[in-house]
Amino acid sequence: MKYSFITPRKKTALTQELKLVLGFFSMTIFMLIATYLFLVFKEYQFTKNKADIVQKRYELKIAIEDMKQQIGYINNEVALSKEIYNHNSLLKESITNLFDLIPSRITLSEAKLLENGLILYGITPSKDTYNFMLHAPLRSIFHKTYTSFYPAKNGWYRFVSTNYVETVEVKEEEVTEDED
Amino acid sequence: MLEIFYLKVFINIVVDSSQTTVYVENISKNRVLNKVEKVFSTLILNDEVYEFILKYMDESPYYYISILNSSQSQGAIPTCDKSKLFFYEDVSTSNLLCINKKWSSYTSKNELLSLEQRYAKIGLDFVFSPFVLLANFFKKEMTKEIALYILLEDKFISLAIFQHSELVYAQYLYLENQVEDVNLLTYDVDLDEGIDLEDIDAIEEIDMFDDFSDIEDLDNIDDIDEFSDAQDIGNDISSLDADDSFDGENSQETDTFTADYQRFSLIKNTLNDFYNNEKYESVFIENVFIADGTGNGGELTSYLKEEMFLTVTFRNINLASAICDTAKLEIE
Repeated sequence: MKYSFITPRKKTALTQELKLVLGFFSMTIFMLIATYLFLVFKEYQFTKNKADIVQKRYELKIAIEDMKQQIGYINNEVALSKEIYNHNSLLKESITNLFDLIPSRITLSEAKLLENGLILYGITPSKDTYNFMLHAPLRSIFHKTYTSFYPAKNGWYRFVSTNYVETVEVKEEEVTEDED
Repeated sequence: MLEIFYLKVFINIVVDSSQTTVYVENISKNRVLNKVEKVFSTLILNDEVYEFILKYMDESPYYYISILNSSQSQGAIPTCDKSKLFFYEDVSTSNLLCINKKWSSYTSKNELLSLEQRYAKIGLDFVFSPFVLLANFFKKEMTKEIALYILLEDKFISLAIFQHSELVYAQYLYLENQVEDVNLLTYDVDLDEGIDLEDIDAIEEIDMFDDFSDIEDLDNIDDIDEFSDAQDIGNDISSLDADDSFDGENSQETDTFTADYQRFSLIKNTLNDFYNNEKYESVFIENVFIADGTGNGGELTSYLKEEMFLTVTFRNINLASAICDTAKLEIE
């Protein structure tokens, strides 16, 4: 206030029109920034999700591999159990058949079940009775059969029958059956 | 900051006795782009003036509306010292403005408020005292020896005596106040016989002429040839053809003459007051600088030269443009 009795009104470049324009641009820029930030956030979220999914996928892949291994192991176990079951069934049936095979005139005193064979101890009235009534069925079951007779005090014969099955061939046959 | 990108619009208003002058300058980076001046035959801010000003206000937010203060209760005091102000004027109800820490300009608070209310529709940024305009207009001349500086307006005369840029004395006079007296003085003048200022009884009765005779420097004034030229003024006036029954042109010339004579009387009274007022050191004034804002003050120069033997420098001033220049100084 050098020369005037009154001080001038404060001047500002922010006229109503300029305020409107600035408001419009501010709103636009705000919306653009908000959209940009939203997209950045979403991108970050997607990236994070993607990383999580990749990690999960990797973990699942590992889990699947693990499971496959477990399944393989279980399959093997199943196959083994089946094999054992079959083997046992076969053995049971063989034993049943074996005892069914034993005629009433021949008495078994001991029977040893081997993995691939059978050793029978017993007493028979005669070698012929043994040969006709027991040896023939045994030969039909086992691949190799060896029999030794020892005369008993009462005139009967103690015998030891050793019977073998060729296991390799049996296994090969079983594997072939599984593959089928 | 943003100011440099905008136009500055200076809207300057001068209200005289019959019309309102609005002068507009558009400035960009200290370069004047546009100047417009329009005169409205109204004294108030009517719709026409308002629309005109509003058009330029809308051009830029940096517009400055300035007006020349025409309050009758204004003046200037040769000090800024508040303790000394009352020695010159009772300024208890005035707004004071210290100019260059040397002198003060004052105006009535009520009239300033009234002025602001009159222009409340557009608002005012600057209200300038005519003394400020006068001081800025004769800035270079004021650095010299003592001289009387006069700003002529349609209704007012601002008289200020400056010595080496220091205000010594100031008066703000309203022309209309003197009309009745001057009419009394001029009423009986017979244009056929011409006007001889020395023959006017009423003037002879005024003490001021006696006072003038007391000035030592004027004691031997008879030696000055020009003094007798006062008669020529009368002769010039008598040359006006009274038989033309005062058509419009003559009537206007008569009005001009009357106004000039009123101004002459006021100046003479003021100088007389200066010489006799004990508040001021009486120093003889030889030089007068007139800034004529009316465009009709030519005759006054002759009166002052021939009647009071003053060395007169006469310059026309565009008041609105001078206000604009002062407004520019104000916002620097």
